[in-house]
Amino acid sequence: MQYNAPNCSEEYNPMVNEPVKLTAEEIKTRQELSFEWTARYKDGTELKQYDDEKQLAYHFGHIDQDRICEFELTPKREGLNPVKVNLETGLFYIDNKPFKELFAGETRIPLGLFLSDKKVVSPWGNKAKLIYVRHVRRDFVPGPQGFGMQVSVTYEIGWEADVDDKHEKHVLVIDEQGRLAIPPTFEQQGFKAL
Amino acid sequence: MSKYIPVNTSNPEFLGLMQDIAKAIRTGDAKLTEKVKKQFAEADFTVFYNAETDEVRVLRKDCPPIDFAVSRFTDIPKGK
Repeated sequence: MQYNAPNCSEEYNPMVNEPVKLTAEEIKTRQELSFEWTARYKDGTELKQYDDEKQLAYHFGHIDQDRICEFELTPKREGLNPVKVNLETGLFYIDNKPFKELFAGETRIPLGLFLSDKKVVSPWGNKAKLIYVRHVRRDFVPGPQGFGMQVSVTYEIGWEADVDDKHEKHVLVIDEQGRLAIPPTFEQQGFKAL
Repeated sequence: MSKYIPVNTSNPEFLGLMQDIAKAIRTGDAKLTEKVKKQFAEADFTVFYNAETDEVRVLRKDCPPIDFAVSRFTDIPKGK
């Protein structure tokens, strides 16, 4: 998992240090991914999850949250579309086209919230805070030669902020086949606050 | 300033909190629940419980939630 911890020092956020070399283990992790991220900054520069030229891997903690304006998941396999969230517009984009709603049967579910002309506040100042979580599930399954491992990865992408003094959180989940979903609330998952 | 406790069962303080909340859940001790909730809150944690899966969810501000099986922290069986 990757954490967004703006108020934590480097001691608590050990990923905010040097990028990691593309070791054999990192390469193995990379092979499990259907999407790789790119963080785009306001000045036009960008940070990619993997720098093939320098053989480096970056983690969420390396993203400059003060400067980021867009976060994109780029597919590594055919048949998948790029998905991105823009922290300035508050909208999601599939294949660079605004994606403003999902349908669950007949129920229309709006996605994102247009942030133009709105007061937006988050721990990162007057902008939305990026949410990105990579959920990795490893199942150990018995096989003829002992136990094998099946890996499934889903990607949670979105933003959170106080918009016109109201807390807003907009998140989309993408699975390895590119299917989109809204993550269930804690309540929907059966959790109640103690 | 809030206290920092890592979400790590190797950390004695976090382990202690989890053992206390597990006991509170099993015994239904409202006083203990409130006491441990307050201790969690001092470290910016909110705790949730799923009765169906018997799991505690620990949520720290600005971090994804992490779930733990209650049975991991107490010998008291569920339903007693």
